[in-house]
Amino acid sequence: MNREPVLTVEDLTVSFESNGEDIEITDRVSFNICPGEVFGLVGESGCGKTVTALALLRLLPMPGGRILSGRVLLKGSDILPLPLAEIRKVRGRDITMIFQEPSASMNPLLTVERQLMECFDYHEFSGDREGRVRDLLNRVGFNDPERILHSFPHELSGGMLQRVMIAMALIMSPSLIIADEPTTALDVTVQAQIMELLLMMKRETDTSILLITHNMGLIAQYADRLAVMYAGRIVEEGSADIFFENPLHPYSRGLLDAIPRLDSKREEIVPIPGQVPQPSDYVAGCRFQERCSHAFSRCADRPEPVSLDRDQRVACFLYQKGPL
Amino acid sequence: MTILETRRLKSYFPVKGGVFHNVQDYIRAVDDVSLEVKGGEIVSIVGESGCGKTTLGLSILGLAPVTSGEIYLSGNKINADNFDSWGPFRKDFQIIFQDPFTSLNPRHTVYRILSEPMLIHKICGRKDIKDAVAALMEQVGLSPDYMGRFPHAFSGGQRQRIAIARSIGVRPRLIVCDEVVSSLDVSVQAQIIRLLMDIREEMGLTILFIAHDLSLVRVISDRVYVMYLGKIVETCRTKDLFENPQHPYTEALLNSIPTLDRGKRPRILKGEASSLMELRAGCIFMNRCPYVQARCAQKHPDLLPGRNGLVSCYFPLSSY
Amino acid sequence: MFSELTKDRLKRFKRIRRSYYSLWILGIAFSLSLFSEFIANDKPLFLRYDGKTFFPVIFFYSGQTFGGQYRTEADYLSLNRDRAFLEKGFMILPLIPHSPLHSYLDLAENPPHPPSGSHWLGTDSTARDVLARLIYGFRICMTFALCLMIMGAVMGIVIGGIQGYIGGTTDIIAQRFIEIWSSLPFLYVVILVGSIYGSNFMLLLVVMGIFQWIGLSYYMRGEFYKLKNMTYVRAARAMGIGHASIFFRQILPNALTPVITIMPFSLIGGITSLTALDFLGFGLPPPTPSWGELLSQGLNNLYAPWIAVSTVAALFITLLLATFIGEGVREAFDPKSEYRIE
Repeated sequence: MNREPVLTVEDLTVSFESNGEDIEITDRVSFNICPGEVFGLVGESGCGKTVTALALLRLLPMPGGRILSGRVLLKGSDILPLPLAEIRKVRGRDITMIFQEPSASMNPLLTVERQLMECFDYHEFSGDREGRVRDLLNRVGFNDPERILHSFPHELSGGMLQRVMIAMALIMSPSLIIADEPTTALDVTVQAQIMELLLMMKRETDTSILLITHNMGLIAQYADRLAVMYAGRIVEEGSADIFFENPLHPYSRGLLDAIPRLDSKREEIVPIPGQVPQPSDYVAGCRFQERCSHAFSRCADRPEPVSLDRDQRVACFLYQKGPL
Repeated sequence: MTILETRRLKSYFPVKGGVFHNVQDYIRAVDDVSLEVKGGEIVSIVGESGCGKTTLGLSILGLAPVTSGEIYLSGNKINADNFDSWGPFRKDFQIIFQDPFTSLNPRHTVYRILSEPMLIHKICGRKDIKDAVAALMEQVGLSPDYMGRFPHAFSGGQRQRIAIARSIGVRPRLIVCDEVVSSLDVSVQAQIIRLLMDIREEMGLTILFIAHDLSLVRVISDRVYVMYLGKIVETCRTKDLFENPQHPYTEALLNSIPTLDRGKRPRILKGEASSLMELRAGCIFMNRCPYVQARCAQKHPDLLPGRNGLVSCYFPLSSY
Repeated sequence: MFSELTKDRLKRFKRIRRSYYSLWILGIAFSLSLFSEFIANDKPLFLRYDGKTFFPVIFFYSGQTFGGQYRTEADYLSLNRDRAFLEKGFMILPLIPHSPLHSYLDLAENPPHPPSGSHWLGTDSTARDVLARLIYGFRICMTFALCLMIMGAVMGIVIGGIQGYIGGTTDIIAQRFIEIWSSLPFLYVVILVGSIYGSNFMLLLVVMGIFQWIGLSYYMRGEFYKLKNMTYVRAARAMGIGHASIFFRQILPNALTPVITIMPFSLIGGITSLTALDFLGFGLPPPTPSWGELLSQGLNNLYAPWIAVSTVAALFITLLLATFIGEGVREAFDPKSEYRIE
């Protein structure tokens, strides 16, 4: 990690309004994404990962969603306080997004060409627009870009649509692509194709990718660094190599034990007892303690992230240095 | 003892088009499937989306049209043209659906959802029904205090528990589980799988487990059927399938799954599955198979005994 | 008892003050109007004569009971002015001591009489008390509209539901029939049938009822088509539950949303239709007190504005309240979420 991070998220706290009161969904989420890396944000549904992604681009649904505090530094400057006109320039140009359901992300009434060319209506681009679009469609694997350009979304399969979305995300050469569960709606064989494509694009263009998913396998295969989220907080963060050698947080371990593995001889899956808490029930102390077999008295306080020697941070009192 | 058997089962959905709504083509969702499930087994049907596995599970219970072929429940042949002929078997053959959010009637309380089947099938009378429902809820890990609530109040995993309770309450012999954990979180999936396996032990159930996640299938099944575009391409015992896959599609499927071993990258299978409508001459996997040869274009290979179980391929893989 | 969803909707409805209060007002007004005989009547609620207690509002007493000559019903209003009676007893008259049917022909000027101390809204062209006629008229038109609404709802649910649930050829045939049926000019039918058999409450109700259900049946057909594909219906089929039970117990409770939202507007339609028929003279037979009839009188006697003004005001307020309720119900069931994205 020699270069400056492309994205730095500092203490991002997001709330949603429900029945008149503000409920905190994320609690001081912090992480860095370096240039040219795939950063995995992994967690189960309801942990706040999608909300975090939306907050980065200020796409939270209103009324209701609010950013209570925090900073989001894109190449060093905070984009959260930017006026609307400025943040619109960031969207689609510096940071782009790919969503889970490709057929829902495209307008069913417009051809692919119309939708791809639409990016140029909002961002400055000097150069051959048609050429750029066709070039990108080639690079994402279409041998016949013309046919794709003149098609409507319903005429293309899920895998093909997701390739189009990737092309769309790359048009303005963004520094960061946020991919929110990009392959969840796809078959596993197509998933492999799409992930390889994303990796290839990353290598060619040096774009960073924020990969949001609940699938640990995807993270293991494709992420350089990762953060694990639980109940609105980052519980573990750091290099993926180190993480999969030795996961630290009890939740990370529990999650890995609960997943059936194809590679190992181990055929057992061990469920984590209990349930994920609802945001309205979030406690101030460690939110995993009810389900944790290692919980002890300190857990009543909020665990702060602790850095271990190499690129590894964990928010758990088990790893607190010094006297407890 | 064979509890469930199908012979050359076909479920075709006609596709109408044109001005007069003529039948132009068929969606061959289940295309000549013969399978067998013995008492006490957990048998999985695995395949990607659109391969017809859900339709297979539904047509076994008469919930999807059966175009031709035979179905035998507990050894009895079912008259597939008549929905009522499944009637006597409804109690013994249950089904749990994928989506926990629509499989429970939002206007019924948990009590009503669980008691109705038991009353209909005369598992217990009105006097004892409340205790029976309470016992059932405890068996699946839910507190009986919640029996007056509506499905709206429960999470996805809890609703699947209710759905499981509904089907085991009538003491069935076989349960078809149609992608029952696919919409749930990973940690919840593990809980539900564990619950199903525990119940199987307690009650001596047989389970037909339909899924797309091979790694889950490995945990839970005794035998596996692999489905692709409406046909069974391979079947054998679980251990054999994962150690020595015979069909190229099975191999590709196993290779595509991202594992937790960072050293091993998934291998790409080219192309995409064609639709269930196209009539293909030759092997259905031809256009994507890395080992395709001239012979494969002539006729789709029959399901024949291979090294382990049955495989539908002229050149099945063998272990090296 | 009620699901979370229903409780949410009830809460939202209560929060819309306009609608919530309208419901109360209309509800109380209608409940009171059911006891119109106790509010506006020329028979006393309670009468004490010669040491004995009488309830003329409920029971029939002849004039001779109170020292009169004839065996027909006692004329309580004149009794109240008779000194011989007042020496031996007293009576408590309802708040509005007039019957809607009694013509006060013995008053000084010619009818219609303007509002005065004894007739608060005056009298109509045959010297009957306007206020009393308004109150009884309210009861009749609300009752009619409610019955019509319920009849229409039940028939609409059953017919539309069967269409949607069975589908296929049955639905196609039924739909063609309904299209033909709905193109019949129902007003003519009402007039024709009324002329042949003589209009009365029941006849009008039946004749209008057989057209009323059409609108709702379209909604129900759609709902049943949609809901019969729900997974829980499939689960019920897989459990061996029969068609009738699925129709009524599984699908119907979920299909009632359009019914509830339509009902207030159906009520308004019923009130308006009856009033319109009465106005034209093809509705309830005279001397039934009805708003339509009053409106017609009002139009013919514009120099006596109290008739028209009071009737129009009553109609306006009632329909306004019902509209508020309807809007509130619609909003409670489908709140407009103002999602902005910047």
